[in-house]
Amino acid sequence: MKELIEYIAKALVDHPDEVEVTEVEGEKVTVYELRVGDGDLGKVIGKHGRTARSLRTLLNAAAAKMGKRAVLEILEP
Amino acid sequence: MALIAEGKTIEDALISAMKQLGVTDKTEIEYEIKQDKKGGFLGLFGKPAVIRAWVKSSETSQYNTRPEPVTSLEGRASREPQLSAEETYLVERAHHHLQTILEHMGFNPTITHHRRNGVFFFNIDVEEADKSGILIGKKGQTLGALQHIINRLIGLEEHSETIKIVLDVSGYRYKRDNFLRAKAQSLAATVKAKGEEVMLSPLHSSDRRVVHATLSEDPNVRTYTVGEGLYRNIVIAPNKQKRNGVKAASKPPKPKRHYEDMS
Repeated sequence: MKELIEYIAKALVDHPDEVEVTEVEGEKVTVYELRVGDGDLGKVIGKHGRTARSLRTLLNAAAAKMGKRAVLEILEP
Repeated sequence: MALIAEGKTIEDALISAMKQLGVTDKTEIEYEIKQDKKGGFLGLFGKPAVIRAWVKSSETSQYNTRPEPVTSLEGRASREPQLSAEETYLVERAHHHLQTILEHMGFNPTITHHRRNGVFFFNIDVEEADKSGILIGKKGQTLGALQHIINRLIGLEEHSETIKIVLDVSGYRYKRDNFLRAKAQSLAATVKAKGEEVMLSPLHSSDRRVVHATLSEDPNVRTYTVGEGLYRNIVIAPNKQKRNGVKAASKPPKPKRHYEDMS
């Protein structure tokens, strides 16, 4: 799941080296924190937040397949 | 036998590779991109595009470019011009991204694609057929998200505007489109018979397009939408014929409207 976020984020941004995903495992929900480089925030959010929403939808689907729950947090650089 | 070719663009590198391999048609060779052209200014000072190319043999054909007769979205594919090197490159990138993303999601997909009217249709079949629902999502939500991401990933590569990728899972979209078309036509028949409007439950933009397109050829009904964003409904209305250009003196009373669930 971490790899999924990382792969898509890196392909979306201008500075893939600055993409960082941290996994915070909770009791029921795993939180994935996504950090991107300066100026790349808009790339992962997209127009009207559509790309961010799509990322979350894909993450939820991947989690559902494994019988888990996952949340994506996009953090300000 | 493979060789390395360089060029200012992938296209240039391909042409160079074709010369060196002694072939005249792009479809006779296969290649992988070692390095996309990088940076530079006005095409100057950047790193060149590098590809590894070889003459195609029938066994090594990696991608199935033939239309799928059963699951193809638009039925029989019409004659399409040969893919340009640029398109081939974009399709291969899309294919690669799709494959990798699906694998990261825990699927083992079989991906096929064909082109129709300049749009690339990718069909995904997953090994565990019972899990394809997860990939489609509620009202095709997940499939839509994946489609958006893939188009974005391709859009980031050069010359994006000419390509559009439509994804399907095991013919889901194909079946959905057929359902929508049939439903739209039967509702239009009711509208014509009763002279009353029908409002559909909120639909995704791609679904709405199917309904609009289906009924656009019917002169007896018209379609319009009400609402915004996620709550945008199509209304199918009877199309009143103008009577010799004489307008009614007063506005007709607000027509009765029925509600139709499209899920």
